[in-house]
Amino acid sequence: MSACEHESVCPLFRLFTMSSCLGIWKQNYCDAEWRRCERHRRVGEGQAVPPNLLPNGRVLALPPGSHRGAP
Amino acid sequence: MTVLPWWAAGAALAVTAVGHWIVERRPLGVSGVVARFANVRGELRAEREASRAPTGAEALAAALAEATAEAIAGGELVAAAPSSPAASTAAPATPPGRAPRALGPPAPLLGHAAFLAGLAAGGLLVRLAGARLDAAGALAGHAGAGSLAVLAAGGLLLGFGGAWMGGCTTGHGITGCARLMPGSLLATAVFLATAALVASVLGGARS
Repeated sequence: MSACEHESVCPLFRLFTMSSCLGIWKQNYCDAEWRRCERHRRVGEGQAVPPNLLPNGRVLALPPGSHRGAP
Repeated sequence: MTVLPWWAAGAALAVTAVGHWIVERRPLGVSGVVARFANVRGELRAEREASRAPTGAEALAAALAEATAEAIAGGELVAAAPSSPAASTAAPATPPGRAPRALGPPAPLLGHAAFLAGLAAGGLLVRLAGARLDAAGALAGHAGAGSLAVLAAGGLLLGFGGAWMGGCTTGHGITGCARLMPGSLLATAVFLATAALVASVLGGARS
């Protein structure tokens, strides 16, 4: 199965490859099931993709003390 | 008076399409730009979320680790089985020497608003310059009270078809065909065949 074509430009993919703990995202989405990736879906539809949007559609929580964004 | 000779209009379209790719790293598509404004609340929310993204490597790493743990606990992420020696020597997914065709991020909503405003302003400028478009001919038979309804229905169908096919005559017809994308070639063939069929049916009904 082919990998996601957006690997070279996805800011999260770089993070997923830098840490063995985060590599599980790469295994579950970027390497195989990228069609399920919310980021991939939004890019394909031309929508804005927040850098803190995770492949499962969850928006990354903000650091404590700052305003929390949408879930 | 003709607005532009065909060869000049074609060259202008080419410059616009190629320039759009160079500047934005995305294929030019008008329906995609318009579609963003159909979901303007969601687009604005996404831009707000982006502006609130965690800053700093430590904060980002902590937030990512927390989200990863929650996804694993929720069963969304499953650890892969250790790869076999045969799998580890398998060919990479992306052939060497072939650059992936990644798209750049969409332009800010404000940029696309300027793009649409430019479309309208261009038409207005051409009109102010004294040119006369053949709109009357295009709407022949639909003059009067029904013309607005016909235009509205046509626009609705155009939007529905563009969203359904993943692009319009700009995205598929100009950009996609120029890149020899099979989906765009097929979509453009469907567009043109449908347009010819509908025009012939409507023309026959009027005559």
